[in-house]
Formats: sequence, structure tokens, C-alpha cells
Amino acid sequence: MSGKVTNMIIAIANDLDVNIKLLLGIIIPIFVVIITSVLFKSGIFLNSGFIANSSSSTSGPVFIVAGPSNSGKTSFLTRLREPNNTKFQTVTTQEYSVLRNYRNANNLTKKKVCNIIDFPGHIRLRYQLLNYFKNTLKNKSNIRGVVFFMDSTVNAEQMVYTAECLLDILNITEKNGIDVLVACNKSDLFASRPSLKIKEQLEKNLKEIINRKKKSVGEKNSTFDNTDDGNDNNGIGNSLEVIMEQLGSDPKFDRLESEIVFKNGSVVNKNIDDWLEWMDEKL
Amino acid sequence: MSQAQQQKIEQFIIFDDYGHVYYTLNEDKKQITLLINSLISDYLIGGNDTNNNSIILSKNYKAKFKTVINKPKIRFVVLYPNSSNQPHVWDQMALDLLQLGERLWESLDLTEKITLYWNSNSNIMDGNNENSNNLDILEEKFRPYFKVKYEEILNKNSKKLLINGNMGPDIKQKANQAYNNNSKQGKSNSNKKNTTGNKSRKWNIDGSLDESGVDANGLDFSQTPDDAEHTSNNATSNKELIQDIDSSEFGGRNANGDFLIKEVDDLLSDTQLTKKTNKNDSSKSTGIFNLLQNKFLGNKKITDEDLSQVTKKFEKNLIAKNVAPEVANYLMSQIKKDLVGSTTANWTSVESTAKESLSKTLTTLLTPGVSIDLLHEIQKKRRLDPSSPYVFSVVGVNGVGKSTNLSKLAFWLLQNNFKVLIVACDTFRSGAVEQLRVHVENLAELTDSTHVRGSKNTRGKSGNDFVELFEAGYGGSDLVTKIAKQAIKYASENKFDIVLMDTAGRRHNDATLMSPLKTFAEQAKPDKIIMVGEALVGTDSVQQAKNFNAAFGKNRNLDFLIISKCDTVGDMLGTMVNMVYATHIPILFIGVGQTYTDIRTLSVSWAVNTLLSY
Repeated sequence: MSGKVTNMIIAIANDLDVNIKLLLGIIIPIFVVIITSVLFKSGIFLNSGFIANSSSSTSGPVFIVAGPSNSGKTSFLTRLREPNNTKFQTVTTQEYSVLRNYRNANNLTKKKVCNIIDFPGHIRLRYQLLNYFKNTLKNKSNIRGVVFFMDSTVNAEQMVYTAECLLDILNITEKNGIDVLVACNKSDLFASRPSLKIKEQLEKNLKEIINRKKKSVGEKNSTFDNTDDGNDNNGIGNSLEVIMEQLGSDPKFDRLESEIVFKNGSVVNKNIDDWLEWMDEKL
Repeated sequence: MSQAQQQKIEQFIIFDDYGHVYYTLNEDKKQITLLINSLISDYLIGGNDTNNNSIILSKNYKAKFKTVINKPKIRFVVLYPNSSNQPHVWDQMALDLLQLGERLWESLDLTEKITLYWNSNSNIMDGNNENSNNLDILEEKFRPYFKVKYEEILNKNSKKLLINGNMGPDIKQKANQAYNNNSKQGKSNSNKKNTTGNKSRKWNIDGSLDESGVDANGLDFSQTPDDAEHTSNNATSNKELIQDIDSSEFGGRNANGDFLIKEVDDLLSDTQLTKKTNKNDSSKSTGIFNLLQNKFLGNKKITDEDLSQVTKKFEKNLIAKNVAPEVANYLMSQIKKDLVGSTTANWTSVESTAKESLSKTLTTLLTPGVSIDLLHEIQKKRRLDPSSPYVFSVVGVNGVGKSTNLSKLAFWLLQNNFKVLIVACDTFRSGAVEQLRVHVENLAELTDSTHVRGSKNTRGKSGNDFVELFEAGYGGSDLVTKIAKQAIKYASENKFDIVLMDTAGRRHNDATLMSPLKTFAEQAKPDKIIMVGEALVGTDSVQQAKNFNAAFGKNRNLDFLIISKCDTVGDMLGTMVNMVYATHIPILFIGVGQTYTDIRTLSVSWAVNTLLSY
């Protein structure tokens, strides 16, 4: 490659009848510097462990869809993606997917579009969401809101897992001023409960969880440091101290600075306008 | 009747990692969807390697799956009966279906269409819904093609099952029906030579024939002379006549399904050809550009070869961090499964892509699959049944720190205002009971500073009102279960919340030492069995964890791991990975020092970062 370039330069130089040696002396070092710097740069780029993940680097406003497994996250996204598809099925998601440039059809005044990201709810895959926050919140984030999906038919016994999941998310959103919509899905089912009731139950469960966490064993997150104060940026470790303090010993969602809204709805019955409206407000 | 319902392929489903379902053979039932989800949760996410074996999902069902590497990964899953009657025929049938699905998928270029589907914009305002257009082919082509071949496989195999004679009526009926159809069809082929207007075969959702008489021109792609030859077997006497007739027209008449099969067959054989040529093309592009792509430019299709160099490096590093070679090997194979055939992102080297994949695999491996909120579990049980205590037992090899970690656990529980009974079930090693007594004295002193060492509490035992030692001297293994039972009874009588049982250390590969564990677990019925493993141990940890996990019999497993002595190994955290890999059981705590407060929960991200650093 470089031989060819040199030949070309020589040829050009001959044509122009200028001092070849001088020209080569200037141009070739410049070439070398440019090329090596590019290579060097990309090398450092790679060593620092930064992965240019094409699907996560989306431009424009972003909404995050999260929540426990089997709460209807992927169905919601599919509903938005294929509004005319009456019959679709979903299974447990293993990797987050992005719905690009979505525009709500009901909202004619605003012409803004947004990206909606569907994160897996499986307990082993929650790290994907945490990693996403970690990578995006470093820079100025364009996350406009989190839509937390939950199954409104979930029984009191199971509610604790929903509450745990919500606490993890609130821990990040509260520090970064991100608003949260708790979408109480499956209102089409008989056992579904109204959002106000769910709010109450979640608060009750959060109280118990926080009490337990306070008494729980600290986390080891450094090789040399044996104390349990993890110093993490943006509060994306698992240290929940700040959010626990903010919620207080008798947690109330209204006490948080960012807005937490509860709304019932149903993906199956296409009863999703309340949620879309909320998203439009945040755009 | 239930027998008959079991005896069929229950479901063939194609979905991707984004959770989108592309195809289901049968209508979805809630119960089946739940099974599929548990398969995803336990095998696809949990990383249980099955080596293409069948998975026994439940009493009634087995499953096989196959993955096509793409972004997202496409998964083919077949759910079939866990039949005692000719299981290998069913296995083969499932395998055939998987292969069929995959080949059809490839030949219809569906992978490409799906990439388009996921990358396209959603823009409802413009009115053109390109998304569903991309996937229309699934309903238009894939479904009928698959159905046709599915019938074929079903017929072929049902005959095998018929010979055996024990087959469910469902398939028998289907096979007969299929046979009748075939013979009928043969007759009609010779009779209807001059009639026009084709009928296509349509199958109902349960596989039965629906002859509603849909025009089959849409399905008739037969124009090649080959087709004419194919049919000429039916009428050898009129060979010359046949050649006079326009071959395409003749083919049209015969379209009652046969051509559909033929078409599918053609399609499938085509794929193999193109696949081969593709391979040749890709192997040509070597040299500098390849290297650049590999290291800097990205956007490169990853081959096995590219990865081998990188994984060798990773493997060495992991083994240096105390990860057992077996486990390192497994992790590398997971990376290969994840990446071979995929394309690197722009400006991303193969190495960093592989590193990302390794980090992903390790994170999912180490992250507990269940919530490990122990206090919640205890509270729940105590609320439901206040009379019975919550029982832990601690097992492990000699000298790993069972008693020490038990005491740490006790201290933490005492801090949470539980009343704790510590039981000396190590009746074997001399001094074991005395050692526990020292711990109990210490703990009593820590909870109540007025406690006088060596004094007895109100019940005349070592310790105080909050923590107490239950001991019954030394003896054989039958004494152990006796002590355990007595201790639980004693605990419920005296309103203890927690019972902690210390057991004797035992060598994991000695059957005579391990076998008493089973009876112990059956008799004492501990709520949680915790295995303590030391971070120092290295390669043997895999076998240790496996043997201890298996020691409690079929119906009982370990519940948690405690990895002790983590402060002594620095960044060599391999033992954690080994033990979790061997048992798929979450790490409850890690021991990080000598004092009672030196237990911590594990930060998975910290552990993964430490393991991956050089």
C-alpha cells in the first residue's frame, strides 16, 4: 500500500518538477503520523474495553421498558411495532431490543419520535439494564423516562419480587432525575387490581425490603477494601443506601423527587393509550 | 385419552433472543408457553450445556433446541413427548424437525429478512407498515412448506411406531389418513389428466387435512422438465403422449401437494449448494485486510479460527486465576457458540468482542437465578409456622471453615434479633464440640456484654438466652441424625428461630463418608443446606461441589454456597466460578477475614471485572 502511495507521490513530483527529496521529506512523515495516530487511537479505544454497540448507541430521546419477567414488556413493544397484528406471541426475552423512531399515531401535534428499549426481566439478565445505565448516564443522557411494567394480577406473595426489581430501578432513576411510569398491565384479567391498590402494596413491600436490606450483610466490591462502602459513580452499584434514605422508614413514592406515576392498562386489549400519553408528555 | 394427547409432537416453535415468536406449529397453550419459558430460563440463560441432547422438561415432555447465530439469535425448539415407547424414534423425529426448520429457514433467507425487520424504523404515520411486510413470508411460505414436510416426517416415523404397535390412536389415525390421501391422490393423478383447476392441500392446525379447495396456482412453481419426468412414472405407457403435453400444464394438474413437496425439496437442495459456494468465497479473503478487520476496523464475520487465538489467551488468563481447565474450556465453548458466524461491530476487534461475550457469560453464570434474600425467607417461614424453627446445615470438606462461617452466619442472625441454636453434629473429630463452644461463648459475649464465659444459661446449657449450644458428645453417624432431630424438637419447644447445624468435614470422593449425608438430609430436613468451599482449593473445587450436590439424592440439592478465605487469594477468584459452574447454585456469602463480621455478599460485576483483568 504505502509503496504504491510513494510511487504515486514520486510520479506527481516528477511531473511538477519540484525537489523530490524535499517533498518526500514533508509528505511521508505526515502520512506516517496520521496513519499511526489513527491506529494507535483505535488501539487504545479497544483496550479500554469500550464496545461500540450499534444497537445501544441510539440518537434521540429514549424510553426504557423494564420490569420483572412475564409482565408484558415484549408484548407492548410488539404491539407498538405491529399495530395491525392481532395475533402474536412472545417468550422470555434474552437480549434487549430497540424500537427505533417510534411515533405515537394519536399524537398529531408533536412530530417527535423516540426510541424505546425493551430490557429482559429475567433475574439473571438484569445486568443488561444496569450496564446500559452505566454506559449512557456517564454522558449527558437522553433517557426521558422508564416504563416499569408489572403484572397487576400478581399476588401478595409474589409482589415482593416486583418491589425488589422496582427498588433497583428507582435507585438509579432517582439519582438521575428520571421519571418512572409504573404500567400495571393485564387489566383485562379478572384478578387484576387497580393501580392505587398496587401502589399501596408496593410501598408496604418496599418498607419490608428496606428494613431487611439495612440488616443485611454488606457487599464486597473491591479487592483490597474490606469495608462495605462502595464508591460508585451515578450510584450504579448495588448500594441502595441513598434511595433507602430518601424513601424513608415508611416509604412513600410521593416523597421522591422524580415523578412516579401508576396507570392501569392492558396490552392484550390494546388499552395502552394512558401509557403512550405519559410518554408523549415526557418527550 | 390423555395417553393419546401426549403422543404427538407438542410444539415446534421458532423465536429469537428478543422474545419475538416467529412460528409455532400448533396453537399456543398457556401451559406449553410456560414450559418453553422455563426452558429458556434454565437452559438458554442458565447456560446448562446439553451437547445437543434431549432435555427432559417435565414428566411428560422432552425438548431439543438449536440456535442460529445472528443478531438476534434465532432459536428452534421442538417439544415432544417423553415417551417410554421407542424414545429413540421420537428423538430422531425431533431432530429431523429441527433440521428441517433450520434448512427451510435458511433457504428462504429468513435471517436476512429478520435483520431487516429489527433494523427498520417504526413509522406508523406514513401508513406503510414495512415491518410486517418483511415477515409476511413466514405465513405465506414457511408455514405451508413446513407443514408439508412435517407431515412427511410424521408419516415416516408413525409407521415405525405402528410396527411396534403401542402407538397412541392419534398418530395411527393420522398415518392412515395420510396413507389414504396418498393412494387417492395417485388415482386422481391418472384420472384427471385433462381437467384443469387445481386444488391445493391445506392442513388444519392439528395436522388434519382441509380440502376446502383453494386454488393452488399460487403454490405451483413447477416449470422444469424434471417435474414432468417425475410424474411420468405414473403413466409409463403413455410416455410419448406425455411429452406432447405442455410440461408445465401437466405439472399443474398434479399439484395436489406433491409439487409443494417437490418445491420444498428443490429449495432445500439449493441451499446446500449456495452454502458451499459461500464458504469458498469467504475463505478467499485473507491477508492484510483481514488482519485489519480483525484488529481494528471491525465489521468482520467471526470465524472459528479468529476466535481460537483469542480464546487461547483468555483461557490461559482464567486458569491463572484459579479457574479449572474444564470450566475455562466450557466458557470458551460458550463464547464460540455465541460468536462464530456473527459480525463484529464497527471499529471493534475480535478480541474485545470476545471479551464482551465472556463477560456476559460469566455475569449470567454468577448471578443468582433466585432471589437470595435470606431474611425474607426466614420471616416468611416463621410467619406461616411460628412453632418450627428455620434450619440450616453446613457441609463441606475438612478444614474449609464450616464452623467459622457458621459462627459468622450466627452472628449476623443474632444481629437481626433471632434466637439461634447451634448444634454440634460433628460427632467425629475430636475437639469439634469444644471448638463450637468457644464460638458460642464469644457470640454470647458479643450479644450481651454481661455474659460470663463458661457460665450456663437458664436451661443449663452453654451460651445465653439468645444463642445456645446443643451438644450430645461424640459417636457414629447414627448419632448425628439423632442429635439433629432432638435439636429441632428442642428448638421448637424453647422458641428458637434458627437452628444452625455444623456437620463433620468429609472427603468428597469417599462414598462411605458421603452416604450418611443423604439420610441426614432426609431425617433432619434442613430448610437450607449450605456448602462451604474455600477459595484456595483450585481445580478440585469442581468435583467437590459436584459430589456434595449429588450426595443428598435425587430430590435434594445444595441451596447455597459460601466461599471462604477470599481474603487470601487476591484476584484469583476462580474457585467461585468453578463451584457455581458445577452446581448452578448461587453464592450466598463470601468470607473475607477472621472476625465474625467478615462476611460479604458477592458483587458479581466486581468478580467478573477482577477475573477478566490481566
